[in-house]
Amino acid sequence: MAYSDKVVDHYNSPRNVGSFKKEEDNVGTGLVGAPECGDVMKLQIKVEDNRIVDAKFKTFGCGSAIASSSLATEWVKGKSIDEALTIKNTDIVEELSLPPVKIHCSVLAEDAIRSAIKDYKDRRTENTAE
Amino acid sequence: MKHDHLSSHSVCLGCNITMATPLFCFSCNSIQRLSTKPNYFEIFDLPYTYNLDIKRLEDNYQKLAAELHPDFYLQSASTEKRQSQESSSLLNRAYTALKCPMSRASYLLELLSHGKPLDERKLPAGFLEDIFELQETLEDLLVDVEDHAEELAAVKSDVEKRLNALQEAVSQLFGNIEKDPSNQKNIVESIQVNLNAERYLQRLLERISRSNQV
Ligand code: FES
Repeated sequence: MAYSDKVVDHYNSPRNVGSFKKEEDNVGTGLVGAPECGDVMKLQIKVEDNRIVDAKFKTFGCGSAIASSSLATEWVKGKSIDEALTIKNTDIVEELSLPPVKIHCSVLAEDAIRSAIKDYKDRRTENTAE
Repeated sequence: MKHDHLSSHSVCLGCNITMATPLFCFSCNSIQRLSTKPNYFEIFDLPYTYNLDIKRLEDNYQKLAAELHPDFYLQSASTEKRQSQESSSLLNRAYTALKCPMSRASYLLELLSHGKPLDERKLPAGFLEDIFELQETLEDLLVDVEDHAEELAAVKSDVEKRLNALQEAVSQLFGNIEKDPSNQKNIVESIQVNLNAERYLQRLLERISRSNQV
């Protein structure tokens, strides 16, 4: 199956690969898996004043999953938390022209954003509760 | 879960004898017209169970495959010709589904949950973290396969061990359903969780074996 140019581009030069320290106060970590294939993705955000100032990812999966997460980190950067939550997997599908069999790879990226934000929020409330 | 066998046996449309399999009558040697989709276990005259008699599955598969092969029906009436194609492909699907423990378990769960969808996302606590770590270890090792052959083999055997443990658990859980049918719903859910986890381990194994080919 041929990948679109954009997928190939992200695959060959993925943006924002890496990780932050999980324990850091303003970091949220999302670790998710795709039940369809068993691939895993970690996406992290760094938040300042409710704005995502930086993001990193690491994906063990197919080219579309790598491209989706790479794109997701680009998109969340500079957005507020609420704005980031509006990113849908269908936006990713459209941007990367993913075929139907690769839709679950983009779902993985949406899940990862959500779970990173949730982790960030959860840890916030934990900290303020103390 | 050991269903009464005889009750599900169908009767030959030609000679009225009770058949061991709904696909073919070995007594009058005739291919059977199928109106409903038979259960995979019935096809091989096997009880509905996870801990299957694999030898019997294979023997019955060979026997049926030989009878149903479309090549033998080239001169037959068009309905028989078509039936042989349909039955052969059904036979192959059923065989593949029952042969592999993971797909056999999924098929059984499908029957036990009466088609109600099960939670395919739920995993044992901490499992994804483990997988991610294993993937990271693997990534480092795969940079130079030759140099890390031993470590790779160690990771491989670790993953295989985990997979075996999960399959062992699945087998036990299926046994528990037979012992305690009232608890079936909960047990079915736990089996599904184990199967979900197996997929991630399979993926790791695929990655390791792909690296060995290069
Ligand atoms: S095939 Fe697994 S995420 Fe794409």
